[in-house]
Amino acid sequence: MLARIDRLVSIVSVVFASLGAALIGLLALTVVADVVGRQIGVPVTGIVEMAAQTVVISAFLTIPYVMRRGGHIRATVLVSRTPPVVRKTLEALAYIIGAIIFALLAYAAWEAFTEDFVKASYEGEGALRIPTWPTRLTIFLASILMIIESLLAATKTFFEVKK
Amino acid sequence: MSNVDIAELAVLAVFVLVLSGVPISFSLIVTSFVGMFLITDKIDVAFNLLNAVAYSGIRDYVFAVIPLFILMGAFMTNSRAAESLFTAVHYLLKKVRAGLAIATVGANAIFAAVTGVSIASAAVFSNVAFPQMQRYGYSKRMSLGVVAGSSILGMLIPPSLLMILYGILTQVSIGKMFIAGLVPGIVLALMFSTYLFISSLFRPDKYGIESPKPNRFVLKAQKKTAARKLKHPDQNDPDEFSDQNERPSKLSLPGMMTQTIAIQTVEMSFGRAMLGAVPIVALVALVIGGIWGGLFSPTEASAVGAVGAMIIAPLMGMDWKKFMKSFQQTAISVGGILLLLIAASFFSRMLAASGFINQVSSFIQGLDFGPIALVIIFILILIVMGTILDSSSILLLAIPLMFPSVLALGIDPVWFGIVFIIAVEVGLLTPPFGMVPFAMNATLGKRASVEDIFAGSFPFVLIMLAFIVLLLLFPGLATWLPELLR
Repeated sequence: MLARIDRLVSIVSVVFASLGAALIGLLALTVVADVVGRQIGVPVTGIVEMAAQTVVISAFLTIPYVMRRGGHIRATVLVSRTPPVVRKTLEALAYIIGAIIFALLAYAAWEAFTEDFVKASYEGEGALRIPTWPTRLTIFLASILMIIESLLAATKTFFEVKK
Repeated sequence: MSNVDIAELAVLAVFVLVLSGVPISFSLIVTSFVGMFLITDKIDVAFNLLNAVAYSGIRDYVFAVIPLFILMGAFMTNSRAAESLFTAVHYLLKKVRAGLAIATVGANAIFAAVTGVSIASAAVFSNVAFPQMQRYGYSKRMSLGVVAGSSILGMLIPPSLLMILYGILTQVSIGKMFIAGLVPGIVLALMFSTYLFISSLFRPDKYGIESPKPNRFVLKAQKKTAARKLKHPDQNDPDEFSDQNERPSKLSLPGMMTQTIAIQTVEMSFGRAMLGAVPIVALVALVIGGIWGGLFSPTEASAVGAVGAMIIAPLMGMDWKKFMKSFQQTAISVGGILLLLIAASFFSRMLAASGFINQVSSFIQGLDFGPIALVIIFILILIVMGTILDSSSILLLAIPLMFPSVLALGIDPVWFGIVFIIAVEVGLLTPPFGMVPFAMNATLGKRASVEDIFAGSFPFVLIMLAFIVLLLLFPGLATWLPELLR
């Protein structure tokens, strides 16, 4: 059962991260297009604002996958010298903290999303206006995924301790 | 409890959580949220600030420079860039005493210009340069020390992740930081090379000089190649580039390459030895030259670099698997670094709201140290922090507290940035917990103990400390070029 949920969540995280990575690749191409465009007198409008939104979106899309791969930067120098039970308990604690902070963020981001969506808020000016709700929604969805990833990781650690 | 008391407790809580192994970003967010709630006594304020930093903390065109340079670095680390550079520099230095060790420093200096992370450089050169030095009879500790020591050039020679973060936090122009790092990077590389050359005069045995008889590594390698050539006469050592010793590890940061290489550098023709390095040097010239020449902003240069790397790497023989791996590693580093940046900005806003930052800077200024004494104290604190934490976390934690005093005392922020980066990097090489040796040990496995790496890097730590003294005596090393190009 746990393994099944884990596999499903893993797929979702990988899909999110792939989208995030693809966006970064796309961002590189767009900025280069902008540089070339300016040289030949065909500037692309709205690159600056679009790049700004892309940074936020791609960051949040990759955060749950980073969690799964244990890539969130941590200092293991002291912990790695403690007995396994202590180490695993602290690890579970870390995951629970993760679940809590992303629950807080999910709550805050949901409010911001509904507000921006209803008001149709946008950033940027002139020709290219970028709605803000997709970014808000990404933060919300990624936070939910982070809660699930954190709880899963905590559960897995708990079972490891029991063994 | 006053607001400053709350902030002090928050700082303490962060240290306890971080040392308990809680990810640094999580530790910062949870203490900032609780701290903000206690300071204002309103939970809504804490929620609003959390939401604001998550959305607008990194929502700026300037921040695009981080994922884009990480993308460029990932492609270059997974390609054969480091190996090609090493081959080329070694070819040029093959008649020089300690040439292989100096080639490691030189190749690392150029490689530093396509990657912004020391730990990635250390891991790559552990695979590229270390086996070669062993084969030529260099002492183990010396070989490990050269790789560890020269990898710190990654953070000093632009583009550098630390310079980008420093620029973002302090409003110092990133382009200016990039310019400022060049002279210190080259001088430090020259100091490393000079040390290696002089040391090889005194201890030639450590540099494989007095062993004209091929040692067992040479014999083994020759036997292997001969056997393979018999089997596949027309193939070019395919196995040598496979992932032979990949092993997962907590320390395996993005950008680690796990290739074992046997380059028959000495028998190569000049053209063939140089060929591989040409596209990389061209990319460096375009990216760094573009920033210095005012052609690109740092963000634009990072995009050009990323696209260039995505084109060059497959041309140099990167396969589809490595191509996708580069994107995967990019995703992992980008998510980690940007969440850390969000967390750090939450934390520093909480500290600012509590009045703690003002308190700290008026306390520091009240001590009435001169600028030099203050910088020396900061350097010592940074070195200690460097033995526990990774360099980006140190920067994000220390800059909000240190920088106001630096400005108040009239210290040049660009110069301080360079000193800051070197001090942090010294910490990364210092026992007991410096991260670079652990990262190398994770790559090399049983071939090198952490103790050996620490011992080998000790001379390089001393050289770096001497260089910090030089920077204190001659600030112009870091400030001359940016002022000239202004």
